[in-house]
Amino acid sequence: MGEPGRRPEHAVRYIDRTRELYSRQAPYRWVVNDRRTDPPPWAPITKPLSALRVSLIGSGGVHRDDQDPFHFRNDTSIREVPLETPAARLRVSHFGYDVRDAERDAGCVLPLRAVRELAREGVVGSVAGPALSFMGGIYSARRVRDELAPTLLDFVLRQKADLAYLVPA
Amino acid sequence: MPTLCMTSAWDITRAVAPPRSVFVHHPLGHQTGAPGDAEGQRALVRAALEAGVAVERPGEIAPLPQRWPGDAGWEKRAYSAEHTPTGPDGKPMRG
Repeated sequence: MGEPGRRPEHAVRYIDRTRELYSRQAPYRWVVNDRRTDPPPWAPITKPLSALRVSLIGSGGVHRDDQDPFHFRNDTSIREVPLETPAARLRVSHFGYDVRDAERDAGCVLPLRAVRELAREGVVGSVAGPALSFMGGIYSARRVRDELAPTLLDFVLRQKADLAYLVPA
Repeated sequence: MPTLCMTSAWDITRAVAPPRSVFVHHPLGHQTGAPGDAEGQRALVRAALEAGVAVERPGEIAPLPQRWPGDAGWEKRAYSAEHTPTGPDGKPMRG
């Protein structure tokens, strides 16, 4: 129950690498959910993709140029990014990854244009607007669970989405 | 609420165990594709949604076949102690 499937051979072992890279700091406490005693919560998808209403949520720190940037750490705030926002008006504020390509093209981490086009083509039933964006560099799992996640869920429910589609950076 | 997570960090996602995930072997910061590649981004997002909707086993991480179209050396450099410089505070520098 809850097995992920075989690990792709080429997948980078980030936990091992960051443990070595930050060996001089206190070990980072990764969230680990025991699949046997705490299996993944499962909500079935009951429609085909062509009938699904999808909410897009990105954690890459994308926002519009008229919105406040994210704080550099543990910021649990959300930005509502209209799906039609021109690329030139998108900005990125995130400390946890190399943002240079996302700054050139936010579609690398928040695929507004892609989901718009897929909805227009009928591949996806519809995409809820606005997209929801946050900065995923939040070290407190408690704050994610108690502050951020309920806010995102509330938005997604009000958008009457059938599926929350989460895109990390 | 049904959820679908994308990931390029298979081991981290395995630890968290979300209900339904798709894995793309891309450098961090490029989950949905390369800059300026609108067609590639659309194809990747479509593949991710289609694969995600097809997941039947809770906790499954479905791998997508897409490979990073850029420099192949990224795998070796990603969070590598050997390739990451140290900043003035003694901590590894990001980026």
